[in-house]
Order: sequence, then structure tokens, then C-alpha cells
Amino acid sequence: MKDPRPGSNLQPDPSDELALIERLVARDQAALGALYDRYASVVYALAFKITGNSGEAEDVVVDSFWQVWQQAGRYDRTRGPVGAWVFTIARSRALDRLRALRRSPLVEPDEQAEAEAARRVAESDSPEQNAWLVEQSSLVRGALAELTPVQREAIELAFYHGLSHAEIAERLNQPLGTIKTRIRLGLMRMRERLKGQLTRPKRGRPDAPSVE
Amino acid sequence: MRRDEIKELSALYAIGALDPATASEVEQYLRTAPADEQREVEELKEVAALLPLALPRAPVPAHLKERLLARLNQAEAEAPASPSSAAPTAKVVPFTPPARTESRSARWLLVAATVTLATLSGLLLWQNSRLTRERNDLARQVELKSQELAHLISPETRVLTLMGEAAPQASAKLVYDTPRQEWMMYISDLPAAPADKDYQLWYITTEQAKISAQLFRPDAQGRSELHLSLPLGVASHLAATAVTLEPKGGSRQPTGQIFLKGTI
Repeated sequence: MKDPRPGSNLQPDPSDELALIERLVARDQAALGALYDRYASVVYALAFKITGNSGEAEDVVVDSFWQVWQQAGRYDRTRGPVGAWVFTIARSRALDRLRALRRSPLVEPDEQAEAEAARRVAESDSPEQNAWLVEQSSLVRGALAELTPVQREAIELAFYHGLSHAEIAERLNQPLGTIKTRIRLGLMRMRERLKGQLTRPKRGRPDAPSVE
Repeated sequence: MRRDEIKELSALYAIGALDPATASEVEQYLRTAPADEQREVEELKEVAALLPLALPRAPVPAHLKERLLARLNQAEAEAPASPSSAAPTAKVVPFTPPARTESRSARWLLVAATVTLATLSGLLLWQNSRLTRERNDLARQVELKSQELAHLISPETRVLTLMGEAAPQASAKLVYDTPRQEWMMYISDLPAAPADKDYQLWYITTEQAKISAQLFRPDAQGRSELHLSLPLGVASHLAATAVTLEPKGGSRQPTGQIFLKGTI
């Protein structure tokens, strides 16, 4: 694996996300405001999904963007888009919170709940201002909807509950290998489905930086 | 671990489902792995990282952005002066007053006017941005409240009253939207929690399993408002809900007195 190369990958790029990162590195607060406007709704949804608590989710949002501000120089564009980097940070912060709360609000998911969850995802109805985000979200939802319920379940337990594959196997009372396969096949399928489709937001989008 | 075994684990590594020891083994392997294997893991990591895009979204509370910016400003104020801002003290240019013809008082008048003007425009600017923030805040609040209202009047929504047990005056209204698996709970007249305790809300299933939902502390008036999103698999076999007083940080299973209880 390549080493992170702080600062070395921030040459001008047609995508305005990299320009935003450059401005963050130069301590431009408006750039953080713009990044926040773009991704806060997803970060909040993620934090809420993980912690199940709006107060905790709010703290996670602030902590995550604070970390983005402090670590902008460590962003490595070869490792994925800015959004993915922001969400990865937010997931870690939210799982930290979850562990600190020492809660384990989990039971074995059943199929009905699975179907219900999928339907809920499919008809997310919060009005979205950001056209790019809407488009990308529907791509990811579409890819997720193509997985089998058990693949989705294993992926969700790993991602949103921070469980290891051994813990998932124990919780679902399934062999370790089965869980390993479900996650692997599920992620590979999503990758195939999303390959070449995910894009970076470009300059001049309607969600252009708001100056605070 | 064998090389092919490690390769097998790469998807688990990408989604963060490995214990730390195994994860670092995979990481070590990847450092010298062929480029296509490295690329595959990077791609799977990206796919996993983008999963949150699929989540249903609710409006983000407006005050959060302010909280973030306040934190930024505070940190900036506390940070030691940067080299560039320290530079002027290093090169002090002696000030020589230019020869002027105006009277001293006229000059002071000019300075005073400039200062007043600058202060005034600063004030207006500040006020303007404060008003904009307040307006946005209010708009968000209205949006949230109208969403709550929409929930309340939706045919899918059910309302349940929880009765006080250990403290009979306490009560709560639970508004739940079954298809969305969302709960709003409005608690009132709950006694203040002692410093070493927290209230804990539980989901109780038809199999009598008690699942921790949330920790909370009521405000000075004994009120608390909880918004919950039901965990996977709970909604379909929920039988009851209860609030107990537990040691600070909560318990895995209820141990304390029951303060509120309701059957669904």
C-alpha cells in the first residue's frame, strides 16, 4: 500500500473538491463551510444511524468536520474522493461514541425488518438541494438494493455497528466463512455496479461554496 | 497466515470488519502486494466509505455549523501567532509624521470619523450575518417542526402514553411511525437523575429481550425529548418500552427501578 503523501497530491485539478482541500490546508474557513454544506447531511445521517441518538450525532458532526479541518493535509486523492474520506472520519468518530456509550442495541435482524429498511432507504424523502449528492446517493442505493438481504445485513452490521466478521458470525449464528463470503461478494458486486459511475463534484455546481 | 488467506480477507479489511491484529497483518501484506491487489482494496474501501450516501437524510440542525465555526475561531484565537503575523514586530519602521497643513483638531476629527465609520460598518456586517444565521435557524426549526407535525397526523403514526411507575407523576408520550421505524418520545415530570445515574430507555421485544435504546438526562423541568431510529430487526417484534434509572453510562440489562412503562 502506498504511503500517505501529505500535501504532495494537491496540485490544481479540474475538480473543485481538490481546490477546497487546498484552501483548507491554507486555513480558509469558507472552504470548510462549503465542504460542510455539501456533506453535513450525510455525516449527520451516518452519525445518527450509528449512535441512534441525535445529541451524539450532533457532536459527531462537529468533531468530524473539526478533524477534516485539522487533517486536510493528510487527504490523499489516490485513495478516493473527498466525500469518502469525510465519511470515513465520521464513521470512526461515531463508532468511538458508540463504544463509549457501551450500548449494544442489537438483535438478530429478521427479513421483514430488512425489507422494511431497504424500502426506507429506497424512498428517502428528505428534500435535497444538492443535485450531485442526489445523483450519487441514488447510485449507491441502487447498488445496495441489488445485494441479497443477507449480504446487505452483513455489510450493515460491519459498517454501522462496527462489528468484526467474527462478531457478526456469532450474532447471526452463522459460520465465519459464510459471513466473510457475504461481505466480500456484496462489496465486489457494489464495486462492479458503481465502477466508472461515481464522479467528483465539479466546479460551478449549484452547491457552490457558501461564504460564512 | 497464508498469502491466499490474507487475500481472502481484503474485503473485510476494506469495510473495517477485522480485529486490529488481523487488520495490521493484512495492511502489512498489502504494502508489498501486486498493484492490482492494492487497487482492488482501495476500490472496495471507497465503495464501503460511500455506503452512508444510501441513508435517508434529515435536515441537519442549523446551529451545528455555528458550533463548528465557533470551535475553529476559538482554536485560532488560542493558537500561537503564525510567523507571518509576527513579522511586523521584527521589522519596525520608524514612524515619521508627514508635514501637514491641516490643524491638529481637523486631523483628529478625520480619524474619529474613520474609526466611527469602520466600527459602524463592522457592526452592521456582524448584525447582518447574525440575522441571516437566525433566519436560517428559524427556517430549519420550522422545517423540523412541520416534519414532526407531518408525523403526528400521518395515518401510519401511533401515539402511546407511558405511565409513571417509581415516580407516579412522570409520564411520556411516544409517537411512533411504524414504516419509518422512527420514534419521538416526549417525557415530562421525571425526577432529576442523581449525578452518578442516568435514565435508560429500553425496547422490550415479544420474547422479553430488553434492548438498550438510549441514555438520557431530563432537563431542570423533568422534560426530555428523544428522537430514535429503531435498530434493525427490532420494530417487527416490539412489545413494550420502559425507562429505568441505571448507573451512569447505562447497563447492558435493566437493573434499576422502572420509572416509565408502556405496552405497544
